[in-house]
Amino acid sequence: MKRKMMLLGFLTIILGSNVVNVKAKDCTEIHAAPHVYQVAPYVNTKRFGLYTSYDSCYGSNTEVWFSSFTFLPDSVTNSVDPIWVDLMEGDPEGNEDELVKQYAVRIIGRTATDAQLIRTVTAGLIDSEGDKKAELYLRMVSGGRQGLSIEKSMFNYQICMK
Amino acid sequence: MQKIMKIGMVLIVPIVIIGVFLILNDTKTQAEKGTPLSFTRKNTFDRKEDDWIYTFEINYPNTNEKNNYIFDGYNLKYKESEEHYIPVYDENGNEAYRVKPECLSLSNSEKYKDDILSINLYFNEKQFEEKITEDDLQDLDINYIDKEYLLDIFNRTVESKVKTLAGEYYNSSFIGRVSQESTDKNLPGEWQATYILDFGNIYDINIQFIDKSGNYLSEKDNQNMNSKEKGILNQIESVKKESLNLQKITTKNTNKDVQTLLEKLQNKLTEY
Repeated sequence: MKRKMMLLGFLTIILGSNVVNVKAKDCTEIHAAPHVYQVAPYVNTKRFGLYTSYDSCYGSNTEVWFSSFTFLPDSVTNSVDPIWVDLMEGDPEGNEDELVKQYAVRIIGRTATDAQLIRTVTAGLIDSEGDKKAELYLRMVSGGRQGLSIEKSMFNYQICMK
Repeated sequence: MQKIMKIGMVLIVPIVIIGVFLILNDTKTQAEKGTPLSFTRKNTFDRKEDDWIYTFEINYPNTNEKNNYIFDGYNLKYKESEEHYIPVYDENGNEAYRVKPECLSLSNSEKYKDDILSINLYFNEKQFEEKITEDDLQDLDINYIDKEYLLDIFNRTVESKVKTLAGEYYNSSFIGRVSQESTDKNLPGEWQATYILDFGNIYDINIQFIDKSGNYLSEKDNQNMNSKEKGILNQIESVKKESLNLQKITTKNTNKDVQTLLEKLQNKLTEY
């Protein structure tokens, strides 16, 4: 009986500690990326309020997931220019939004061939200390010929906050 | 007699004038068919084994910007392949996960990707405007694409007629694919349709039925096919021909699943 109780206690501690250690992830739905322009201007997605399970919002705890890549429209000429995807943290008017992470979706000809997290610009706090909600959005621009519009969503995205 | 001739002239002259006007008008409409874009194009499509299509295209901007050269190959038939994927890398360049491409291409193939990148970079840097020789490709470092073939497809492209007016689908994805689960209990599996464009016009449509085991009906030996399966293949062939002629996906004389599939394909063609 004593051994059983000890085993039960041990299991409770293990399970309990695991529950404490599991940090939930708050994610947006999967969205189609907006149409983008080559060279300029930048196009923004809508802003999403995401909650962190940590004490504050840190850039290192953000993620962008890519899926459903498609082909460039027939009207767009491209050779190897990527689409730049910046993960931004939106601040109230008057304050500059923060660049959190920079991704590149590489394209050869008309085919998306890979995507990469190029750099984490802000790994630390992206909002006030203790604030557990961040306003995140993507801003995008494509390389290529000046001003040519890509009238097609090139991929789906999902933003997450751990 | 003179009176008859006069009446004849009165009747014939307007008819001739109207006829000439209609012919001229029709010629004008034909000539004006299409939309001018900010560039013109020369391109070549080569059909290869297993429903692969290789293309070379040269886009000539209307401004004084550089020409744009694209070489790639696309498979309109096969749904997936372990060798074709879009990797997503983390900050350290390690592969974090893989995304299935909408359609297989040489540029998303593990084996050919580097070659396609090198070829596209090379041609865009060299900006060849006329026929080239083997010597012109001497500095191109590739492993799997045959240089002789590349030389041939480029030369055919650069010597082809320039296309100045784009077809109505110029803003659509260059390639699009849709699928539809079969609702026929006697034919369990999935329907798949794919299109590829040629300067805004539909160049080709590929329709496949893939059974539950992943077998393609189009690959089945004709002798082992039942009459229903033969009928389906005929149906597919005729709907494809008609769609290419009309430059619009038609669903005429097809079963319910193929109709739904083709309606999805037409929507895909017009969605931006």
